[in-house]
Amino acid sequence: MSSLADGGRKPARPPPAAQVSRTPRCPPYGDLRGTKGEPPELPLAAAATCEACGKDEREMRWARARAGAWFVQCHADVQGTWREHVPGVEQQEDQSQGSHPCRPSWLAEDEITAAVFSRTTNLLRSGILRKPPVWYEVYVAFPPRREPLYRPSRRFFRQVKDVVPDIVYPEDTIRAKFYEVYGSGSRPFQLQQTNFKSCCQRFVEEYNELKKEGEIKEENLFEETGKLLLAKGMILRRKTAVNVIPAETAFTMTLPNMLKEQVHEEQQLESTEGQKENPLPS
Amino acid sequence: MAGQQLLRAVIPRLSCVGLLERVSPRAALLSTRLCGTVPVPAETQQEDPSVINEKLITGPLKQPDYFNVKELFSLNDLFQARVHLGHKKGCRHRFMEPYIYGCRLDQDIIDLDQTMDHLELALNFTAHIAYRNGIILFVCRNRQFGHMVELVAKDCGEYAHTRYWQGGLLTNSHIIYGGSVRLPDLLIFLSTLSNVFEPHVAIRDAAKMNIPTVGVVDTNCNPSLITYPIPGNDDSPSAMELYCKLFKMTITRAKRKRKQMEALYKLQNQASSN
Repeated sequence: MSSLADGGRKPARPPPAAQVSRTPRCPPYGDLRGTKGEPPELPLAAAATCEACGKDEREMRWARARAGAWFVQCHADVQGTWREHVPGVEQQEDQSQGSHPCRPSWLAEDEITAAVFSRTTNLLRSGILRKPPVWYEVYVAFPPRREPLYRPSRRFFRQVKDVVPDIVYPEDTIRAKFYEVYGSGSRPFQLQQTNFKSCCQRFVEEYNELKKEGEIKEENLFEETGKLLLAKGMILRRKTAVNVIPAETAFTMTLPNMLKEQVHEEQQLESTEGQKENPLPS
Repeated sequence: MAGQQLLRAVIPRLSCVGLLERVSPRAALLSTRLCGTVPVPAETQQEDPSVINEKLITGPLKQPDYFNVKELFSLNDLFQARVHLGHKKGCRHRFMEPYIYGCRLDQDIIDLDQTMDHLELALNFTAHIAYRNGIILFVCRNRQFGHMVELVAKDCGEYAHTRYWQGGLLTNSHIIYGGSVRLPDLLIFLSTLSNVFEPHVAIRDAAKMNIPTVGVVDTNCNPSLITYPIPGNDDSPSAMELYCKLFKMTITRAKRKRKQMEALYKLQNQASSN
């Protein structure tokens, strides 16, 4: 379908972004778009008239813009619009409004003013769409929980209050203590089994049972559970402390002393090597 | 003849070009001559099968769950498929906060009660669209599940686009595909993010072209523009398999129902004419 009135095939690319920095970008009319993002250059002559109704081409464009449609067959279809064409208004294409009437200048191409349903309702009401699209009645019968209106997601540079609550259980205190004392449990987690009970989980359950019985004191509960589980056969290894240099030796282990020791060791090594090498050349 | 008219009424894909709302401006301007004389089978449809139209097409809308999509899934199914697992706290999108149940050790957990509700709504909508012979396009740019989505679309008899989305596929379709092309009536996003973890271009384009969307939104996605969002995990294979299964079942169920009803009304018509 390339039978344009002017014959040529215009490139179907939008103008480069640098050219249209702050000016609004036109809705994508394809190769009908002007070079500077202005309203589309229509293939018909400027003074052409619509054959269906006899009205001017510019009026047609204005009517299309007013109705908010991306594509319009003929403005004769736009009947009963709440805003009739006002002659002479088109001339005042001032910069503040932006050069394109249907998109205000402060909106980027990404941002969509109205939700799908309200736009389609307006198109139907104005007569541009002659029959409702397939989904329209279904939407009316089963509307979504929230109207899909565009919301700009601005990034906040200050700390935003965290609205989502943390999920914490009362057993978490026991779990924390367990992991602190015993490290990760002896058995690795078997995630393929949905009813798998880890070391920690068994510990927690034993703890709660002992607590319910109420015989043992609070402070001793932890150790008692440990003992009980060891008796049952579960291996619980306490986390070994990292080798820490005791305080007295730390004082004497200054850098010169360490170097002296190193040199001494090297000398010893050399002497042993020398002894080894001697028998070789005979 | 009555049979043919009935066929045209219920299968709008066979109708003329003139019925399509999304006509290119070039075609529109060129065919200004045709403005007044656009072939409108709609007029001929009004007389005979309007009553049939009523029952066949608008009948299902009167019931809250005509296709019984509720029975296709349960809360336990969603949990087992790990639909409730979201991303870490740092990845959270501000607009997903209402759908999140809580944060467990910095991992967001999606509220499955809300997911159930949204999923039911979305599946119901999809079923109705499929019943009305709407074109459904599955979109998923998550490469791990691209092939799976394509297979699902093939099994349903619908369409999928899991490759690079060219700029003007929806908005510039009359240039890319030439002439008048029927655009999809519903887009289903199994993952709303593109390769580079930004919102998929098709969401915005569908909103521009007045096409409703159904989409699985994870905790790092923006649900604003999606008509029927489904808050849920879009990264685990088990969750994706569940969604694919559910969509396939609803669409096939709806299409089968449509065939049944058409056959029923055809029989009725024949009986009444006889």
